[in-house]
Amino acid sequence: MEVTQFYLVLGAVLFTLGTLGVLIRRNTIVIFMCIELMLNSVNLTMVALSRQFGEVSGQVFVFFVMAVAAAEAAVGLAIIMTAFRNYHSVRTTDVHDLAG
Amino acid sequence: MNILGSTLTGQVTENLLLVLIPLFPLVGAALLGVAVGIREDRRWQAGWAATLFAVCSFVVTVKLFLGIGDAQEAFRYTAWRWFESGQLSVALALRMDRLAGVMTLVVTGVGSLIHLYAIGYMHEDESRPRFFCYLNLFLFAMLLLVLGENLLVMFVGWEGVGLCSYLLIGFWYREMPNADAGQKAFVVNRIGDAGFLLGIFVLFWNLGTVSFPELQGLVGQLPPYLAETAALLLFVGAVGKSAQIPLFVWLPDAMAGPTPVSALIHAATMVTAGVYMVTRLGALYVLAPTALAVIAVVGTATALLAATIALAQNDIKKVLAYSTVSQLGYMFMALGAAAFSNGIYHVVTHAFFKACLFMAAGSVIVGCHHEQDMRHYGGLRKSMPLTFLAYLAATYAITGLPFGAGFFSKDAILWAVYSHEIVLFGTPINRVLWGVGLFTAFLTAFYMTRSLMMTFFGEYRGHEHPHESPWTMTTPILILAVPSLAFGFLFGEEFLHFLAAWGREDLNVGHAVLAENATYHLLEMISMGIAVAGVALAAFIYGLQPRLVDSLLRAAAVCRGVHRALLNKWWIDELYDALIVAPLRKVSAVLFSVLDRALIDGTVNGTALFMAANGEIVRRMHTGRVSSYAMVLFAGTIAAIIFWIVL
Amino acid sequence: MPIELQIEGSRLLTLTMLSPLLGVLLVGLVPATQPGRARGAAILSASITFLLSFNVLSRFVTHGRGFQFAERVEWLPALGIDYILGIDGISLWLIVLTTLLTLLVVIASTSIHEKLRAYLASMLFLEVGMLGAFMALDALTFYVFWELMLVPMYFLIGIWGGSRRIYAALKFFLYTAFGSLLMLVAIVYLAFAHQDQFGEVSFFLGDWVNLQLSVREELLLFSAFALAFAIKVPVFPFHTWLPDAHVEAPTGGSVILAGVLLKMGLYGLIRFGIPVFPFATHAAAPTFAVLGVIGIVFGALVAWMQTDIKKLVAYSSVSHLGFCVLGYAAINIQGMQGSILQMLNHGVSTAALFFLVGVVYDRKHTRLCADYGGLARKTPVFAFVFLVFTLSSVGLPLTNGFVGEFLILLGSFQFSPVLAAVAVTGVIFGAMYMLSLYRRIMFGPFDEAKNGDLTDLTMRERLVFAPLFALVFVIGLYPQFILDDIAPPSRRLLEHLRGKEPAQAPAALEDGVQSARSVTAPADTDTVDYAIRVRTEEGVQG
Repeated sequence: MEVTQFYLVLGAVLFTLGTLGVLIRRNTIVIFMCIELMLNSVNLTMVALSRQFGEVSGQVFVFFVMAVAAAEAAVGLAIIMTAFRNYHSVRTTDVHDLAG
Repeated sequence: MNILGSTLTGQVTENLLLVLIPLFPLVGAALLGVAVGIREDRRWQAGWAATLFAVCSFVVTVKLFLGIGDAQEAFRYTAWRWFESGQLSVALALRMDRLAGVMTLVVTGVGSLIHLYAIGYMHEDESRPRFFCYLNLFLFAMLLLVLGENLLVMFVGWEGVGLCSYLLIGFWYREMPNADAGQKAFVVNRIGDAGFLLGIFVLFWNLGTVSFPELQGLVGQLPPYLAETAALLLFVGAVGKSAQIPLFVWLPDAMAGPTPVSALIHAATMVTAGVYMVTRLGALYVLAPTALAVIAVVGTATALLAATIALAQNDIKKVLAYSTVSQLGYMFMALGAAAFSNGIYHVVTHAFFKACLFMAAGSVIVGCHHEQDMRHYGGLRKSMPLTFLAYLAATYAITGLPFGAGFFSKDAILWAVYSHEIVLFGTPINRVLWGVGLFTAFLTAFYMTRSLMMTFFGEYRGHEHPHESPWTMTTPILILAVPSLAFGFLFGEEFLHFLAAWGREDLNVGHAVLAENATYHLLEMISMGIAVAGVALAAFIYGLQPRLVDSLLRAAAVCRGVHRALLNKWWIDELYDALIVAPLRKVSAVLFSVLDRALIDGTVNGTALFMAANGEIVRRMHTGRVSSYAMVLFAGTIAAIIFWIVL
Repeated sequence: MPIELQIEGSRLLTLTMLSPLLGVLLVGLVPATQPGRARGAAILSASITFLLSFNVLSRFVTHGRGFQFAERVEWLPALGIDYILGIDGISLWLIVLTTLLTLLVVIASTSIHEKLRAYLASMLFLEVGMLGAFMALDALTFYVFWELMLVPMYFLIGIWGGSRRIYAALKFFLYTAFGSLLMLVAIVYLAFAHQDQFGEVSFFLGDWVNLQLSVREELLLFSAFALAFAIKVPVFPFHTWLPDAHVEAPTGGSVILAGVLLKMGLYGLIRFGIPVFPFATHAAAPTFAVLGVIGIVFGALVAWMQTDIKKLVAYSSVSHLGFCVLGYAAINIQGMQGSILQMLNHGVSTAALFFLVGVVYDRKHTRLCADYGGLARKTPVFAFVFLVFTLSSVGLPLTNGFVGEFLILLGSFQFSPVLAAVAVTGVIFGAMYMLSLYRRIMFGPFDEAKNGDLTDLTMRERLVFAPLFALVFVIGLYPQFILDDIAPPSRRLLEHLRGKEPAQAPAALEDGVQSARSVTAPADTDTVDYAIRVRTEEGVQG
């Protein structure tokens, strides 16, 4: 009981860190890492809760999240690579072609 | 084969012969058309082929015409059911009764002669085959018009002759004025056609049929106001086609076409289609006295107006054109007096002498190297004796000198107008119309003699050496000169009796019938005197005192003014331009630039611009910075969560 | 008016409709470097479609009941959306016209040099949309095809068009899409109205016929439909997208636009408007008639002013479609048959006129009348073909234009003599603007220096004109083979409309009308039809 709470708090802290990172940082790679951080914090939370309630579905979801995260990393990094090739920068402020 | 069988076969053969009449020229036109399309050489002699088709058609017509007995009996041929919708059922059908027979004879007979004449006239033209193709096509359309069994087949011919007229007036299309004249003819005719269509609608919706024989039996059921309406609407069509006031302006311009065209289409046949149509629907018109009065007035006014204009024209074809308008006015006078057969009588004699005049004029034009101004003619009787003889005969006929064809037919008309009560707005007007008609006869005699004197008498005033035309041209002219002189004398009475079914028997100037009538004799004398006076005056002025006109014009301002007005055709073209064409142009320009582009399209584009402006405002929220989007997204999520918790 | 579906297992309609997709596939497989092959593939595919539609035509039973070759497949059963196709005499000929014109356009695509494959594929896609719209009997299926037509047309104008193509394409798209969105709302409303009344959602036309709508509902819903259709026709004053679209579109686009797309609007009014909204149709008829007449006169007068050949022909379309609208609004058999026949005639002659403009535009790259003149001498075959289609457009008897125009005017005269009298002036103005166009291009002196290099029609071009040329005279001489097919469905529609006039017509007035009219016994044996006609006549008078 006590132990689970620690995990949850840790998950919340990591999630907040990730969110702040996404919102504040301009470097897409860092933003990307922050997204990973958010995903994994959720994973942590789910595993913890799964353990506490003895429910397997939480852990199953974690697998899904990891799979999606992997796919996302693959696609996302590819996009960043292409963007870098075209703009010679990975900073979000330099890529604003869609500005209205 | 038994007797019944053989008579049936006979009937069938005759009905098949009927379809041959328009079919010959159609085939001719089609073959010539294909040949024009295929052959590189455009100068080959197509004229003989075209003439052959016309003559074949004439021969068949004669064969059939001799077989027409009773006026009620007619040859019929139904090609196929053209279209039907609801109660309306229209067949492409032909029908030849006495009236149609007479018209067909004129069309194919005079038509054949003019084809022959055209061979000579168009001898040097570069696109002769195209010309003869159109000419045959015209004959086809005209025959459809005449032989149509119902209003719609007549309308097919009606528009068809309009098309051929358009093509032939603008035959030398490289000169823009010719093309303009053709277009003017077509459009003005279309105004009439619109009236014709409306007339058909009135008849169909009230009688349920468009077929002539059926209409003949049913028109009695029409309430008077509908009969008047239908009659007037159909008359609008006749006004357009037969060049009456106010739609006569196209006919003088139509002289831009080759002279055979003027002779065939704009003198002998097409322009009389209006007279024919009114006669064909005589059963309707006798039920519409007001419409008849209107017709009489319009006809008389046209006759007078055109005759005055003809007085001052110097172009020989223009003189003849206005003379045609004027003579058509006479025909409508007859119709207005319900003397339909008298009107057709004049149609026939007019076809003879006016075609003859036009062709003789064409012969003169060719002989003088395409000079049309009579001031450059003179003394041509020596160099062109045959043409002179024909022109003389035809002029004799049209002026109404005793025993020429025009004398009988014109007198028949004047008698009908004089003796038949024509009431407009409660006033009997027939005596007035008669007087105007008589005066017009005087003018006719004057201007025709003037043209004769200026062309064939006096000294030659041109530069090129004039020469007589080839036999292909002189033969048709001389052939037509004969009936111009003798038709009324020989066949007039029989003719009127033959057509008696149309119009009032008592108005037919059967000489035997009227021999006892003192009034008639008096009128005859008066009109004879008038004609002689007109001829004598013109002969005196233009033959003996050629300077008289000039000195008159110099002496009196009034004379100058009148002369200018006549020369400029009373400025009617200019008037129409100013009153109708120019405002219409203005209106359509305004419709386009103001209503269409500015107002309607402005509203449409304005809406689009309004949206775009709004978009411009909202656009500023989209900075293009991912982090700011993310921030908004995050803030939104938080707000949603708070909202959810609070609720 | 029960809508009968003559279900047939052959799936002929679906096959015909989807057959152009084969062409899209083939065109896509050809490498971009071989435009000839791509064109060949497209021609092959369009010919197959044409032959299939011809098969439909030959197997169609003129006096058959209901909708023939019908197909019904559940599409989204949960939403009550079915895929329902079927044709009657009205859609039959429009389908044949569509396949014929598409084939001709594809054959004439030699003037397209850039992105030919995309052009051909768009054209074939467009054909699918048009055929589907003419075949659909389910409102949502219809709507899908209706919108499907917009997309390829948008690209056709926007990519292969003239200098202001983007503007024109956008205007075309937004204008039409705006109208159809309101229609979509109405469609959904009707589907749910059906649920309220009969317990299940349905988009099937045959189900909608049974709906009981209040007058207010019916008028509002009809307005939504009518706006979409009126824009498409286009009815004055919703026409301004048309000249822009026509002028900017490539020749093929103009041909299809004028030949087929414009018919969609009136087709919709007839196919959906009359069965579902009979009362509203009656109520709106005077408005449509007046707008039609305004369109006739306005289009003609404005056409007269144009110096751009294509714009002139475009405004002439406004005038001609005005006639069609007038015939529809006359609500009698003559008007209805005339209107539908005139749609086909307009498809033939105006399409040909746009082809003809394309011929000179390909050679000289100008559409201004002033740049031509005296061409009759230099290019006689072109001049002759142009003349024939000019006359057909003017409505000369024995060409196709006459019978339709005549029936429309005849029908409208019964509806309102005054309107008919105004509409008849369209006959005069028609001659005025078409002949003045012809005069400016063909007659007068020929400028050797400027146009000396003009050549006459090529064999390929003659091939394109041949079928249209033949149709001008075939329809002109014997329109009955089309009128026969149109008559039964037109009669059914009018039968449906009968007795649904606005209620204010008092019975006494009808009697008065009857006695004033001395209608004679009908010549034809079809007395039933006659009875209908007379009753319709009385009703309209009231």
